[in-house]
Amino acid sequence: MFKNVQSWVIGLTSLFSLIVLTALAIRSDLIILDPKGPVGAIQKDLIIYSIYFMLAILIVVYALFTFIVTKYRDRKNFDKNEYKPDMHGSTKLEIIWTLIPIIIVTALSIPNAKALYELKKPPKSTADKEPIVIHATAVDWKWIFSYPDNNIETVNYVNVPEDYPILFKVTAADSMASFWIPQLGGQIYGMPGMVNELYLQADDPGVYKGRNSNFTGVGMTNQIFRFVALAEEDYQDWLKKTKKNAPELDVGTYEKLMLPETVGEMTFSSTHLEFIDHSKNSEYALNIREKYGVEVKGIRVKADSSEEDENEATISSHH
Amino acid sequence: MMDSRKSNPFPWMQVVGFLLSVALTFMAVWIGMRAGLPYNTIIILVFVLAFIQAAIQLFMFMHITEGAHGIWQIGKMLSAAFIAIVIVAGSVWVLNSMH
Amino acid sequence: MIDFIKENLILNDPLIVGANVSILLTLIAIVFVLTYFKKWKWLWTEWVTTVDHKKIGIMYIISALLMLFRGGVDALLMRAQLTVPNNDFLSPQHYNEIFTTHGTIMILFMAMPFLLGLMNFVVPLQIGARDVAYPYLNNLSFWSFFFGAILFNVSFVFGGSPDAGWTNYAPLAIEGSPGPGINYYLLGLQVSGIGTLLTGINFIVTIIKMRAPGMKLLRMPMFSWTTLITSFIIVFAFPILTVTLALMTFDRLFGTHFFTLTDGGNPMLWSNLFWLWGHPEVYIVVLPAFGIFSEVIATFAKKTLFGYKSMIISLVVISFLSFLVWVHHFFTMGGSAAINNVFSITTMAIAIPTGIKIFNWLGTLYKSRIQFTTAMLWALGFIPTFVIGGVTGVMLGMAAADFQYHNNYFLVAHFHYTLIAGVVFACFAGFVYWYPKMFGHKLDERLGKLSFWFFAIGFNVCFLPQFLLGFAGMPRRVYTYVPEDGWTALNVVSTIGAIGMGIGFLILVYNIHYSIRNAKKETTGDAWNGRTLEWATTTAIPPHYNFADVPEIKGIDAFWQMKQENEEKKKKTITYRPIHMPNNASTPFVMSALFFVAGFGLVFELWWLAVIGGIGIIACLLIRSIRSHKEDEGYYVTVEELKKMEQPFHKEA
Repeated sequence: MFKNVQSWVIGLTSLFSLIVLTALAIRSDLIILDPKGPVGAIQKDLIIYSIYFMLAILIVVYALFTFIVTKYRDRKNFDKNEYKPDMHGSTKLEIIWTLIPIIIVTALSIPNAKALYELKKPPKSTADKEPIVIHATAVDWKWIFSYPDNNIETVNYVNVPEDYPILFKVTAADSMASFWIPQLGGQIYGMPGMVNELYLQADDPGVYKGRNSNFTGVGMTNQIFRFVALAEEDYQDWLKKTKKNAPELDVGTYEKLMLPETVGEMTFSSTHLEFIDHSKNSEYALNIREKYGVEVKGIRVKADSSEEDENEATISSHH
Repeated sequence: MMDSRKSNPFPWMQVVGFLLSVALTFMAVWIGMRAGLPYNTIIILVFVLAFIQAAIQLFMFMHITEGAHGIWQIGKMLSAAFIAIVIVAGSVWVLNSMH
Repeated sequence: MIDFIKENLILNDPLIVGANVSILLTLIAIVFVLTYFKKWKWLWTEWVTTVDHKKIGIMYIISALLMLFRGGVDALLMRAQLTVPNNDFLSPQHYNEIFTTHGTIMILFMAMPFLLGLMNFVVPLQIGARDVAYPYLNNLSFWSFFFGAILFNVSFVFGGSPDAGWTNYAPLAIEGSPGPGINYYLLGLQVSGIGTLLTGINFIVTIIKMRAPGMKLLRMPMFSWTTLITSFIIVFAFPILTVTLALMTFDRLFGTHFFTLTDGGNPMLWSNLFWLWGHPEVYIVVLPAFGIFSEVIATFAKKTLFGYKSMIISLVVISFLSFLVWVHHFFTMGGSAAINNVFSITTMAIAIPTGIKIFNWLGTLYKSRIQFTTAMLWALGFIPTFVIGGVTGVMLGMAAADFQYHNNYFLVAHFHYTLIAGVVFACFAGFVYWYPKMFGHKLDERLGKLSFWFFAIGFNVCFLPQFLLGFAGMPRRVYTYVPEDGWTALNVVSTIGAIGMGIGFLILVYNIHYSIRNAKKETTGDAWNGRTLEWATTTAIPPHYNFADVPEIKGIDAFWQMKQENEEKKKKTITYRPIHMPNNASTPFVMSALFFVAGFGLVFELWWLAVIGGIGIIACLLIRSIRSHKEDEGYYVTVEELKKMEQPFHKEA
C-alpha cells in the first residue's frame, strides 16, 4: 500500500533532481538552442515550437496520471461509488483523443515541411550574395576542405567570411561520414561517389567546432575540424597569404592523407580536385590504401589478387 | 493439435517445388550475369521469374488452395503484396532521391 | 590450427581476460554441479528436448536475464568510460566493440527472447489451448535463438567482437572491418533470426486456430492480441533481415558487390534494407510490452480494460504504419525534401495510435481500485516515462529539426526512454506478474518494490540529462570528449543513474534467490485474483497438458466472468478423456548446434567446417521431414493420470 512517507520521499527526490538538472542545463552550453547562423536558427525555431506542444502533452498526461493514481488508489476509506469495474469505454473520448493528436501532428508537419524546402536553398538573409562553394571531403579520420574558386585546400579547418552563405558540397573518400557544425546548423552525410549539399552561414566572426557525427571506426571521435568565420577583410588577407605562401598539394602528400589516421591542420595552395573528385570516384582511397599495404577487407576485384592476401587481411590484430 | 493422418506418401509436391525454385533462381542469376542482355530487359526478366517462383511456392508448398478461411487468405495476400510493394518501390524511390 | 587459436584468443586486454576466466569457471561449476547431482538426464529430457511451451518460455526468459546481465555490464563500462573527459579506461577499439554488443544484445538477445518467452508461456494458457500449433518448431525456435546468441557471444573471447555499431553500416562494416568480428554479427543474427521467424508463424496459427470454444477473437485477452499482431509483423519483417544479412555475408565472404564502395555496390542500400527491418523490429518488441501492461493494469486496477476495441484498432494501425516510417532513421543521408517530408508525416502519425493507447490505460485506471503491487508499479512507472520517449520521438520525426538531433545524445535518450520504459519495464512487470504461474510462488513484494524504485529513478537520472547532452552537441558513439565541450557534469549525473539501474537489477536477481528460499508456496492457480484464462489452471504451476477440461468462454476477461458465476463452476462434473500430447524432440537441438558449427566455419572462412555443418543441417531436416508422422505419434495422458492430477479440484461424474 502507498504510505505517506514514501510519497514524500519520491516527490522530494523528483523535485531535487529537477532543480539539479535545470542548473546543469543552464550551465551547459546547449549550443543547438543557441545558433550563430540563420540555418541553425530555422532549426532552433522549429525545435522550440515543437517543445511547446510536447510540454503541453506532458502536462496534460502527467496531471491526469497523478490525479487518477492518487484518487483511485485502494485504501481503507475507499468510496465504493467511485469504483466502476465494468466501464467498457467511451466512443466520445476516443474521438477526442484521436482528433486532438491529429491536429497537433498537422500543426507540427506544416512548419516542418516549410523548413525542409527552405533548408535546400541558400539563407534568405544573404540572398544578395553569391554562395561560396567549398568542397568538404571526409577521409578516415580527417576533413579536407577544397576551395575550387580560390585553388586552396585546407585540412581539419575551414576559414570563411562572416555573414556569407557557404555552400558545402559534402562527400567522402572512404566512409559514410556526417558533416556537422552544431552551433551553425544541421548535418548532412557525405559518401564516396556522391555529393550532398548543405548551406551554412555564420552571422558573426567566431570559431565553431565541427565534427563527424556518424560512426566510422576507431578514429571517429577525433574527426574534428574548426569552422572559422573571419571578418571580410581578414578572410581576403588569408586568401592572399595562403596563395602566396602555402605549398602546392602534390599527389604523394595527398595519397598519405588517404590513409586511416588523424592528422593536424594543413594548408595547400592547390586542390585535390585537379587529380581526383571523390564525389565521382569511390575507389581512389581504397586503391591508395592497398598500394601502401594498409589492410582493407580483400574483396575487390584486383588484377593480381590472390587467396592468400585475402586470408591474411581477414584475421587481423586489433588497432 | 496433433494431426492423426495416416502415413504420408513421399512429398513429391514439396521436392518438385523446391527444385523448380532452385532452377528459377539459377536462371535469374544467369540472366543477370551472363546473358548479355540490355539492362531493362534483365530487370523485367528477373521480376517475371520472381513472380513465377512466388506462384510456384504458394501453390506447391504453401497450401494456398487448402483451408476454409477464405477471408484470411485474401487478407494475407493483400497484406503481403502491400508490404512487397512498399519495400521494392519504397526502396527505389528513396535510393534514387539520394544522389 | 594452433596458430588459428593463438591469433584469435584475446589475451591482451585485462578486462576481457578476466571475463573469459569467469565464464570458464562458471561453465566448469555448472558441469560439476550437474554431474555431482546426476542431473544430466533430467536436463536432457525435461528441458533440452521439451516441446512444452511453458518450459520453452522459461528457457527463453533465463537466457534473456543472462543477456541482460551482459548487456548491462557493457552499459556500465560505457558509462564508466564517458564519466570524465579524456578517459582512457577503455581503448577506442574496445569501446566500439562494447557499444556494438550492448545494442545488439539488448534488442536481439534480451528484449526479443524475454518477450518471446512470456508469449510462449502465457498465450496458449490465455486462449485455452493445449500448446502452440507446432511444438517441435517451437523447440527449434528456442535452440536456434540460443545457438545464434552463443555464436555472437563467442566473438568476445575468440576473434574479436563486431565493432561497427548494432546498425552495422556499410562501408565501415565491409571495407572498414577486416577480421571476423562483423561475420559474427552477420551469422549470429542470421541463425537466431530463423527461430524468431518460426515463432511468428507458430503464434499466428496457434492464435487463429487453437482458441478455446467460445473465445472469439474479440473476446481474446489483450496480450494474446498483441502477440497475434506482433507475429504478423515478425513474419513480414524478419525475411528482410534474413536477406540483408545474407547479402552482406556474400559481400564479405564471397566477393559480391551489393553494399561495397566499388564495382557497383551501394552502401546506402544496406541502411535502407536494415531499417526496413529495423523499424518494424522496435514495434515487434514494444507491442507485446503494451499487451503486458494491458493485462497488469486491468488486473491490479480490478477493472476491465477501457476501450478494448479501440486498443485493437490502434494495434493494427501501429503495425501497418510501422512499415512506412523507416526512412526517418536516415533523414540526413541526403534525400530530397519530398521524401523527408513524407516520412516525417508517417513518423509523426504513428504517435497517434500510441497516444490513444496511453489514454485508454488512463481510462482503465479511472474509477478503478488500484493495488500497488510490484508488477503494477512497473506498469504505472511506464506511463509517465514512456510518454517522454514518445513526445521526443515526435520531435525527432520532424526531419528539418532532425538534422540537428540525428546521431547525437538526444536520439540516444529518446530510444532508451521508449525501449526501457516501454519494453524493459514490461518485461519486469510480466516477469513478476506471471512468476507465480511459472514457479509456484510469488517474488517478494518488498524487494520487488525496492528494485523498481532503484531502477526507475536510476533510469531517469541516467537518461534525462542525455537529452541535454544532445542539445549540447554530443554525438553518439564517441569514446571520449574534451573538457572544453562542457559535457562533463551531465555525463557524471548520467553515470550515477546508471549505477542506480545496476543496483535495481541486482536486487531483482537477489529477489529470485530470496523468494526461492522464503516465499510461501501458491496453493491455487490464481495468485492475483486474475481476470484471464491462464489463472484458471487447476494447480499453481499448470500441468503439462494445461487444461484437462477446456472451459467455454463467454466474454472478455473470461476467468473473471467464470468467477462471478462461481456456483455453477463448482457443481460442474467432468468426464475425462485421454489427452494426446507431442513427444519430446532431440533433433532441433542437434540441428541448432550444427547451425553454430556452420556459422562458426563461415565466420572464419573455414569452408570445410561450414560444409560439414551444412550437410548436418540438411540431414536433420531430412530426418524430420521423412520420419515425422510415421513414427512420431506422440503419447497419451491417460484418464487415470488425469484423475490423479485433477482430483483435488473437481468432482467426477
